[in-house]
Amino acid sequence: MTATMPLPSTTLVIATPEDLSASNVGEFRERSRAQIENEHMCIDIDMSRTTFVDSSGLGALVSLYKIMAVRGGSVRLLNPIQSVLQLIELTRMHRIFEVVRA
Amino acid sequence: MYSSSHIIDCPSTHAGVRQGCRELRGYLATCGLDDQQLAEWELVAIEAGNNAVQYSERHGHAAEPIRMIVNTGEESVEVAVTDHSSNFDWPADVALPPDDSEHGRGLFLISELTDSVRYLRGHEENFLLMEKRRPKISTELDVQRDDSLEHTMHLMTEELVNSYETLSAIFRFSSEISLVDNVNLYAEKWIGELMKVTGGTWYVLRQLDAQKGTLNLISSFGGRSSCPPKLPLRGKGQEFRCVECAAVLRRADILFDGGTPQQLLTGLKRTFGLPLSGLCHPIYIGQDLFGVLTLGTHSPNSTFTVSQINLVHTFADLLSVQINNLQNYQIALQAREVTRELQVAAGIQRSLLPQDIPQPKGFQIAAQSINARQVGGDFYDVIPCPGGGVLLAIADVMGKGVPAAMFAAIFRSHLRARPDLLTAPGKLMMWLNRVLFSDLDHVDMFVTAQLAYLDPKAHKLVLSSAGHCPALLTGKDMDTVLSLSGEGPPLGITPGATYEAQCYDLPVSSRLLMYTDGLAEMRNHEQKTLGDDAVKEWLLKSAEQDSPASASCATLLQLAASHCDIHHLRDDITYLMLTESSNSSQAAIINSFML
Repeated sequence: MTATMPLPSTTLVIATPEDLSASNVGEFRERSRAQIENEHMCIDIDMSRTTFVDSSGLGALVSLYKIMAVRGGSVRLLNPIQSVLQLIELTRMHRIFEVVRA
Repeated sequence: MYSSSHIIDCPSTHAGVRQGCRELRGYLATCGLDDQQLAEWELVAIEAGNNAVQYSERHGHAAEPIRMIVNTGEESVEVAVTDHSSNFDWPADVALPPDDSEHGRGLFLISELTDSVRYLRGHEENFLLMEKRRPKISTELDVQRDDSLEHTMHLMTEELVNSYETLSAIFRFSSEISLVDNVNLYAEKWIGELMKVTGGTWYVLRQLDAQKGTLNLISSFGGRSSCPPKLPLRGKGQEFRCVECAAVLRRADILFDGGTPQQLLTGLKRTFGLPLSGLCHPIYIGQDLFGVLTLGTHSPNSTFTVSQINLVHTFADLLSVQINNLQNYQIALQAREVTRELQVAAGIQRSLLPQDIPQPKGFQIAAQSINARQVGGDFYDVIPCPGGGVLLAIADVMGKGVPAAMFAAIFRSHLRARPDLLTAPGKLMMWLNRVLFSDLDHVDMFVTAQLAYLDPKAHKLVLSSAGHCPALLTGKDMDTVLSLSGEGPPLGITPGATYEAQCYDLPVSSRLLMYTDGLAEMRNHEQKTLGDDAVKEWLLKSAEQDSPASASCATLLQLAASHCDIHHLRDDITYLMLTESSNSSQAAIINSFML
């Protein structure tokens, strides 16, 4: 039901790893922040390959949201699998992230 | 109670806990739990384990391993996670932190995904005991697979049915658009369907008025009082007092519930009461903001799922396109109606011009009039007078289009109302100013006019002018063109103005051109005007050629067309041509009316 839209050039795409949890969230956070440039107004987080996320992983996503919120930008979560989507809904993260499923 | 048990010891590190949780999941899979239960236990265990790591590190117990004990039975599963902290206790109330908090969701997840949680403090170590009932375990793996497959098929079928019903509703509504003449009812019906699917009990749909900077009400439902018809977007602090304005200004959805700052819901509270929760979605057509749809329930904490939010997006986006199309369709209908009425008005205006111009003995008269729009403010008339003479009249009402055309019609009726003054252009002009002044003054308009009485027997012309551009007069043996102008302001400027009439002896084979300023002032693509000199030059040439009035009108039109596109004029152009020739053939009247 969700239409795909062409990617504006101010969008940064970041893929989350297969496992986004406390054991590797620090490295993900650093790697993601290093990719953010001044012109980026939207981050698309490709979660299609992620099979597991814990609360630390959610915290890392929130940190990216806060960076973009300061500059009036946004963060989208792309194609989370069903279990990850349930986690997002359970923790009401879909109130701050637009979730896009192709 | 528990038939089997498994112990997992993992290093007190996050990586160690992660590995331990994978092992836990693997063990529970052998106990027959389904994928959903396995995913939940894996998450619960990692949250408990990470918590243990965090508090053990804080208090110098990082070296001691963390133990997970998994007990499974027919009816329930229990997982106990040890920690060696001395400063952690299970909180009395476990709630979600603020949306923008990076921490604090772990205990909430443990609480939500289990049936019971107990934290037991010991001397050397503590236990976090988590228990959850399990569905009946079957030892037949084929039955499990079939159940799982059947469940998946059921979910897929449900999704397909929902999608089909949604698409069906969309196509049905789209086909009804041509039958609808009331946008409000159409929106109500459409959003009513959406509310059924999402469980909403109230909504507000607003459309942006970009010029006034307001969000105007299209439709609403479920309120205990009426919604404000307009919301200003640009008031001070409006973003913090009005959730609809905030969603538009932030260009993003806002999900609100009992935890949302109440100030933001002030307007909605007044209309729909409390408690409230819902979604505020700004709607775009391409890059342009169309409006905002707010949909909600009368409960403090029900939020829409991702699927429902996507459904709201789809419905709202399609509805906005339909409403926009409907409004454009209505505007197009109105424009068509106006065009038709203008065509009728143009026909009426054409009928007010003389159909057969009187031709005094020895003279020919022809005329041409082209409106910049369908109707215009230029006017001419040729009225026969006693004794064989004629009064030639030309007028230009300030402005263009319908208002100017209406005054041109009024001028015509007044002009013909005084047959006793037709041979006295000065007096007639004064009278016209007197009768038209109050009407023109009331709408801040004026009329330039020129009246010329031709006395063929005396071979004289008596001319009076009210602010009009000079008439041009030449003759066969003349190498110059005389400009005939008169004293006197345009009609409608000065009440009680006087207008002198000048009497001229006509030259041999005289040739008179009266015209409106649109002719000399027409501009070409380089913005250069045709100019009075070009018109005078043309008049001299036509005198040389001794062409009759009708032919002269045609060549003057060719001159105009060679200067600029006469189908896209900025001002009306009109001219009256009088020629005196030995050839007394009937003059043709050229009345061309172009848009």
